[in-house]
Amino acid sequence: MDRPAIILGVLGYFLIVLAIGVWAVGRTRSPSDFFIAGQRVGTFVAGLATMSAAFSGFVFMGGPGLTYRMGVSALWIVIPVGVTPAMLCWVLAKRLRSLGRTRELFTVADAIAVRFDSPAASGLAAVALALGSLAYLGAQILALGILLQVVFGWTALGPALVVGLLVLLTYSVLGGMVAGVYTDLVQGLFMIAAAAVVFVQALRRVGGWTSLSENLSRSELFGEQFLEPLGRAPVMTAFGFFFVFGVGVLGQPHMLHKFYMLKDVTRLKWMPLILGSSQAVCLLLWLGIGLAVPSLVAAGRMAPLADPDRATPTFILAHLPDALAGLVVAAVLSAIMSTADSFLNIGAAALVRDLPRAFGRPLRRELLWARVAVCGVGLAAAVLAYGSGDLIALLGTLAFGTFAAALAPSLAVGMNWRRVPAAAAIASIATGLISTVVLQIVTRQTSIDWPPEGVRPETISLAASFTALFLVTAMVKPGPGEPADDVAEVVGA
Amino acid sequence: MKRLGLVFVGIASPVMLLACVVGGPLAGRVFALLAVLFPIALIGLGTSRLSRRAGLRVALAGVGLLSVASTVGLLTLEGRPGLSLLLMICGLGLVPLIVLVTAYAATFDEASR
Repeated sequence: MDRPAIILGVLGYFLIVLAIGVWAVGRTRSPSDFFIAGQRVGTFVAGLATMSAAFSGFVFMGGPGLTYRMGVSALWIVIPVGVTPAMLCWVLAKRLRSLGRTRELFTVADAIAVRFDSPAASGLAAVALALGSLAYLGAQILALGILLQVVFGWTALGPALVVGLLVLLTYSVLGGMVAGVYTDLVQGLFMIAAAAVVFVQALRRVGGWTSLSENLSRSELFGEQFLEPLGRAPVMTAFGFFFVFGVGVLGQPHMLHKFYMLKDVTRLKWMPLILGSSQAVCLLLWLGIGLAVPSLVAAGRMAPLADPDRATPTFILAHLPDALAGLVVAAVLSAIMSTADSFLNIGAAALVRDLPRAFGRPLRRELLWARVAVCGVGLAAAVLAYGSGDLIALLGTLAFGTFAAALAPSLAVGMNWRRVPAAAAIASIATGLISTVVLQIVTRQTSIDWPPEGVRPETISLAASFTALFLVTAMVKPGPGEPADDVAEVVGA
Repeated sequence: MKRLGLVFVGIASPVMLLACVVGGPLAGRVFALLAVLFPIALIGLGTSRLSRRAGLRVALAGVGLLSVASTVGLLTLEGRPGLSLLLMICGLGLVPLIVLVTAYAATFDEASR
């Protein structure tokens, strides 16, 4: 690539995250430091880290591409941001953080183990965490490799994957979540700055909102339906997105994990504001590029995209000045790497902490094994990414649904209703895991005319998992298996 | 609020599952209304110890009503992209965000869990 400002932007960004990794080494002396940053994180840092971990490369790369394909109907995925920040804090954040005052909680599986006092429930949760993390991570590493390949003009994907993985592993192994959360902060700031600038630039390029909507409405390729929320998505798809991405956040470990890191529970007061406002600003990039590129195509100022997922890089390279393009590429890298470092940590924790504890055999040198596991998980995900091509991207999109269906009901209801027994949590997690896999296979069979039009498999899995939880709770009589006193106090009536 | 939230989530879950299984326009509309109220019900479930705060109840009821009204509007409006886009972004996104974030900070109780 003959755009030195973009290459400088990438190299500068890599230097910053590596420097944070080196700085964090001396602050990572225990498993608590490695997994939950020693519970020394303030609200602002935790809020931005949650946002940057939640918004992966999908929001900055896949989102605009999806909008190009299905119009503003794609926004149903992100509209739930209106309710999710406050919902996360009301339903789970305070309870998870409060439980962490009396119990040693590093992971989501820890919370399930403490709440339900059941190795089977926490073991199943650990399986979901390990599989989902590998899939999520694989998709991020693949996206990282492809972006570096484009920036540096490499013909092969392999070297790009190696470079990206090396940077990611260096700061993640050295500094654990201390490095993770502070790189997430820097990455979040990059993302906010880039999103705001790109939105303004995108509107200017198309000549404002009126010109944008006129271009799209007159276009044969896009048409009036492009700007209708239910124009290109059946009702069940649109509101299914709202349900899964709205309620499903309650099962996303990379977001919940950040609540453990807070200094104390009083810091939560401003968390929804920081999380919600930063998410809203970052979504401007999705909205800006997602609408500007089709409008430019409709006006004949840009060729139709053969691959809609290239909407973001195409816009960056063709319509942004060099310095700004460097910032935006760094922001896209940030979106990818902030999610990836969270899943390296969560995947490693599932292997060296959650699964051994579920089998009653906790490891002695957890910090050492955690660092080894981070390398192992990273390498496994990179091999999966390199070998699987499109399949890993598919797995990446499935990972959100898997976490949602397997973990959200037990956590959301179980942490707020003492009556939920371990058997109900086990049934819900198992239903979520199994139905996700089975439905993904069923919906790909052309010979089976089900589910009905517009119904997505992850929607069915999430509704089924909630149903299983309530059904088993209703069937099991209250009695033995009540949570311990300190847990019951947090869970409430 | 806790009981109401719990009852809603407990009833809505199998109904939504059924709607997904049978499909069709009516099932789609029922699913849509339940889907937008589901997060509000979960918030109700999570705010048990603050349920006596009238301001919080008003905020949640307001967001719930706005969500239902926006959804009904979206399901009935056709051929008016500007208005329906406004309903989606403001009615289900921006306004709930502002109201809920404010309500959370205003009713935050350090002592409660």
